[in-house]
Amino acid sequence: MEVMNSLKDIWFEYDLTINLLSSAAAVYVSIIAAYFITVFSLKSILLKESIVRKAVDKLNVFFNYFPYLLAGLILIFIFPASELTEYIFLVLYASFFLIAKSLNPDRVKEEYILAAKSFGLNEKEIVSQTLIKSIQPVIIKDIQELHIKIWTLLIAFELFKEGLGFGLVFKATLENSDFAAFIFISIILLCIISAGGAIIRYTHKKFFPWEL
Amino acid sequence: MNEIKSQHIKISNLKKEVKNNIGFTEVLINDLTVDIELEPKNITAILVPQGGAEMAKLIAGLEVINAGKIELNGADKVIYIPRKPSSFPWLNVENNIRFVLDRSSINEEEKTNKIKFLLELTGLDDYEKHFPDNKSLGFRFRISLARALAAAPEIILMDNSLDGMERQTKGEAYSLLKSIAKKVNSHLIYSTNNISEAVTLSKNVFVFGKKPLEYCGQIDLDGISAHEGRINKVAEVINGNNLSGFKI
Repeated sequence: MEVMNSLKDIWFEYDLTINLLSSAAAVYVSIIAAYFITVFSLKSILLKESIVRKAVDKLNVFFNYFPYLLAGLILIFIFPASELTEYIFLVLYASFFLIAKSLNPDRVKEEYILAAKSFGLNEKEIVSQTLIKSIQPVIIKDIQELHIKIWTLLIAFELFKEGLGFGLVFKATLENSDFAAFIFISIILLCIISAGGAIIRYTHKKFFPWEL
Repeated sequence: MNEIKSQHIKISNLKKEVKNNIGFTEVLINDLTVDIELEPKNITAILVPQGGAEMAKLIAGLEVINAGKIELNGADKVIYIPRKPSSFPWLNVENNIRFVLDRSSINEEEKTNKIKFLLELTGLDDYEKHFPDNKSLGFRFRISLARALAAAPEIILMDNSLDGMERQTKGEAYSLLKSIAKKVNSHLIYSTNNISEAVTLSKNVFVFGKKPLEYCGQIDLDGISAHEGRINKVAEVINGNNLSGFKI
């Protein structure tokens, strides 16, 4: 009973409901938005050697030397207390991550393109009716990888920002040297990540069960 | 069923070059001229060594040629079945066939009847709701074949599509293809580098030799019943009996 009371205290002391909702919403809204942005952009990017494709390739090289978090810190520097900054940062990061991965040429199955061409589909139809469909399971697998990365990035990002978020709670527990709260919040975070991961796996199995 | 007409594929002065991985131009075909006569109700085999030009893709118009021409003698629909499974794994068997039928002008009732007919023809009846998301190459090939037939093409070009199948599955696919060739109005062409496969499937084999691809001749295997004898006959035609690039 005492343990329950003390957990309840931690919950209210650190205002976990709102902080948790804020971070979880940022992560999952960003992932969903990035998924749609990816699918939508791939339809035009895959069609030809477009400027976007070249830009993605160049940015990919750039981010080999420039930590993503630094881009987030620049945003915090400009808009220190804006919750929108967090969403913009995460959506950009997640979309870039998924698009860059999806442009890997190994992911395009030549046999589906040849079959589709042979049936007289035009380029636009080939992309929308075969290519995008065929890489859906891979995008979901990428989202599984992205999921943990985006949580890590978010916590780190929130350590520096003002306002709401799980990272701020972690920061507060560290500043208060509140080890019990730190462990409790970590366990909650692990539970959320596990539940999110399970939903992503379920989505893969239920809606995109085929292999590339 | 309308009577099937004999068909020709006329290849004239064909040239095909590719850039290799160090940037040099490699001539795969140089000035190739050949008239491939397709026998109605029989499979025609094209025997091409591995590592050379992909004749099936060229005939299907899926690769650009550098010079010359390929005439299909009025055939305006050629369906190509690639070597690797190409049935769409996100569609079930029925919808794979429907994918093609939806692009035609036939009504729903005709579509349903055609799907039923094709499922029976390819031995897929009772599997219409199954998804091709499995490792069975035979199953996936049957779907690709049913889907190709749905387009009612003049020519179906199979590009070594039975490669990688287990022996028993392959045997079943041979029988299926032979029986389908007798029942449909499409000409079936099987392109392979496997001599044994070519002579098993066809009595009418067109043999091509090593790089740059050259035409070695047409072999009529009618009257030669022994498998070994058929293989030997083909081997004799291949230039200098050089069987590199071919499987037996």
